[in-house]
Amino acid sequence: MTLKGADRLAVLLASHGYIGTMARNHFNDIGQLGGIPTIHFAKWLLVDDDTRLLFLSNYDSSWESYLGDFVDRAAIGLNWLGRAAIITRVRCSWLCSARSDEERFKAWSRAHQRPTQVFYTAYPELGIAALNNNTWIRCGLHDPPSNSDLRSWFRRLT
Amino acid sequence: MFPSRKARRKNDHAARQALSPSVGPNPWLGAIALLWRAAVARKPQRRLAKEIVRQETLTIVARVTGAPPFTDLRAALQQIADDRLPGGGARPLVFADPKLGIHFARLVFAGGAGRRRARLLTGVRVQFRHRARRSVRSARSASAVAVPVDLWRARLGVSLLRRLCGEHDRERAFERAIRPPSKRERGVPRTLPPRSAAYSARAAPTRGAEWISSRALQERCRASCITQRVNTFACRAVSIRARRSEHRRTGPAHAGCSDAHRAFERRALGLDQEPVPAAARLRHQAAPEHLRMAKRRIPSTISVRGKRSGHLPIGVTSSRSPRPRITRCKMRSRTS
Repeated sequence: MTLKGADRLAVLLASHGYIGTMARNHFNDIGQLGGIPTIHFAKWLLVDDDTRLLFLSNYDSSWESYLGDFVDRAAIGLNWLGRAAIITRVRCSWLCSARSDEERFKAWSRAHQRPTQVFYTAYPELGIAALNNNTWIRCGLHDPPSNSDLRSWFRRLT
Repeated sequence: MFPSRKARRKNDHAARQALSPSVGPNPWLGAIALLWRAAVARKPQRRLAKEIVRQETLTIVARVTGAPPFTDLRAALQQIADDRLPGGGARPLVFADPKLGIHFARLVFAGGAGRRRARLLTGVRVQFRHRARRSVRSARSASAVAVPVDLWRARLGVSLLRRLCGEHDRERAFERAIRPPSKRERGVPRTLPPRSAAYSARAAPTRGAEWISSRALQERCRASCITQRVNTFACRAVSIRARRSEHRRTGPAHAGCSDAHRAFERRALGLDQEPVPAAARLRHQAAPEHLRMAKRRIPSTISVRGKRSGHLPIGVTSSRSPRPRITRCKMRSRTS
């Protein structure tokens, strides 16, 4: 997406700094990006001498539910992004769900997407919840859990 | 469940004995010992667990010049996409080598938007983007970036690269990005744009397990407190601070930070199987009616993590009115 101006670029950089800090210290640990648990990875890049924003993410489930999660749970972030960069803005109040312009936002997202010619995933049949669960099982095998944690470790096997 | 350290040491010793030349040249025994060691022996796994596994995202943006419709470039990309592992799924062979450790990879041939689209029609430029995410066993960020670049160069091959970028990439950006870096620029490929923000849901094992589980529990408690507040006061989302002050006024049993409430929520979330302490249960029974109704709804509203909006069909009572008032929840119920 094309950025609008220098002042908005500053807002965008500030919001990205906030997202980056939150991701390092909070979101990465709880496995949810702004309350969205289906995203594997997400990355924001400024390309073309900071005139264009590139957003890359890998997510589970369908495209509709992915964007619906963004509208429901990350409406504030979308608003910031809209004020800083994009043409269409998702209008929502400070902490309520963004219902009014959801369809418009989806249409705008579809218009700004680029098809991927080559895509590779190492685990096509696993979602992020199963992957993280497997990771914890593997960690438990490397470092056997204590007696208090053993029950929760066994619960991961079911 | 888990063998003791002594037993593990004994197993390791047995494996070493099995692999030693004194066992003899029996290939079956050697293969079985290798399999056993890979599956059971603890020593190599312990070494792996201590290593730092970073997950680095590498994005290469290369400008491609030429005239549309770029048929040969598209054909080369199609060839990469078609040459995939058997068994279904999006697994092109180029990225499927386990040595690369790639989680996700994509090649996107993208044009511009708006004014750039017009320039594209005149054949000025489009962009060729390459992105992959992989695990790197390295503690330093610079070497973590340099290692996949070297591996990709070896894996992709020069001929394929020339076919991809040789005719279109006038600035040779892609080729420059994946060439072996010199000593001066090692680990800092110039064509890698710096990220402004990044998120990874799989970074948890770098922290301690107890720390992670405590943070996850805090997040769940916070979500349940907000959900409870939303249910109680007709679907109005408020901050956790307001929720806490509200419960401090009504009683300590409902404060989100108290031990009694924490124990109740742990049980409601299925984290603890033991019963709620008697003192907490008594305080819960002594709570006002509308809060008790809200508490009864906790398991149904927070049992499925991340699906709170779908489990809030009806609001409960309002604290402002003396009579219970049933209100339709305005939070949207969405099916995925």
